[in-house]
Amino acid sequence: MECSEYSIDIADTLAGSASPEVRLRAEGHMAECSSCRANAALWNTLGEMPAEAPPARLPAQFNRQLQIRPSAPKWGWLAAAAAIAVGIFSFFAGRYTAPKAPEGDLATLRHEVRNLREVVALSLLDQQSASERLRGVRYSSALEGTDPEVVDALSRTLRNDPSVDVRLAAADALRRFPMAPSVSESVWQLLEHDDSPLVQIAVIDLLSSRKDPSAQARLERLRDRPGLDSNVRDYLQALLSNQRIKGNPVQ
Amino acid sequence: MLLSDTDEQLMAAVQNGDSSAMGELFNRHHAALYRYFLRMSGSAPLSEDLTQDVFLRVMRKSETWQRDARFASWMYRIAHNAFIDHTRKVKWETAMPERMDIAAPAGRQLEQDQEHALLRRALMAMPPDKRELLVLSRFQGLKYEQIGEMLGVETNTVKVRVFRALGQLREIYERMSGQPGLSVVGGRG
Repeated sequence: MECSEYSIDIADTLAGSASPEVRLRAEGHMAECSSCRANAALWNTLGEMPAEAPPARLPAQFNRQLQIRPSAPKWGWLAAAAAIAVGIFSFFAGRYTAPKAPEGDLATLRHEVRNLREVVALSLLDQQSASERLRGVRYSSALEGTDPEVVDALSRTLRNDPSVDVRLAAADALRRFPMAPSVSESVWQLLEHDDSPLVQIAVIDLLSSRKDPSAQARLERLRDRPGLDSNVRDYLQALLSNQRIKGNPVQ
Repeated sequence: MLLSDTDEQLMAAVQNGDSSAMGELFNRHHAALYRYFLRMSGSAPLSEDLTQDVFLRVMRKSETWQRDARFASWMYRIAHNAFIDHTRKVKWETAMPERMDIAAPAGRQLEQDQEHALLRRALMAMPPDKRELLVLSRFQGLKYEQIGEMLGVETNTVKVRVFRALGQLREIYERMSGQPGLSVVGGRG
């Protein structure tokens, strides 16, 4: 008989769910078949592979998400779709009812499309799925212009998003936008409590790329703070000892 | 809500709006689900993301759960769909990672750890549907019957597919290691 005719018996035997007769039949075949014997050995080896543990912070992150959205989830997608639809409707309604801009139809249309993109980006940033929010960040970073609402939303994402990936993407996206002093200050505050060294380093990059005369002193204070992650401290040390930065305010 | 409640009792509580029951379900199953996604994707950050996504989907779809259905089978069906949704999204953007986000082997178990690392690579080289059969049956400890419920196929079909997937994994493993019948494959059977 061919191996395939024993496949069900062997699968049951490997899983420990075979009856004594089935087990005997499968073992009888495996005693004569080196290929099936090797498969059984591989099954055993798979069972010996260590089980990786998830990060300890995962339950806390999930609870945070539960608290952020206690009741909306059931219709969350519908609300998001409706928000986007209302946005689209408003812009096109505005296009036909508002007086034409002096620069002509093409410029007006370009302006409206840009605004529409901003609405879509803002809607995506508010989604439940981290992947969707990541799309929102990417979408935002591709926007022309500097809508303060988009900058606010990105800074809010950077400060509050439970996903490290999304926070990192937000830090990266913010690099190309000017930030109001209040937004900039809130990002500085983030350095005090974000628990991800990766995000801390991304925020340090973001803040050190700004024309902020106080940045050098603040980064030095951060470097000397007890309890700072050693990787972040090393990164700061390298950044601050860079001659270009050392001689001038961090820019 | 009691810690001794079954998953199904907790899920019934979720249907009645008890969010603490959702937290308890997360505590019970998130580690297994994380490992499922890690075995399927090879990416730790993605596995974190998808694990949370599944439980948010569980909450959103709680109304659709039938009280006589096993919670774990239902949850894995949602996980299966979440992974498919993800792979559809990234299909044209990124290739499957060649390595897994798992600590490098060290210490006296180096040889065995290297074997395991090679096996992980071999698993990642399998087609996702076949990899999933081995992940569910071997790593997640699901019964063939549960896998059948989840994938919508007969239990015996699952057994045959697991048997074939195991053979395919062995072929890939031997090809990667460059020598058929390594100790791991031939020695402990």
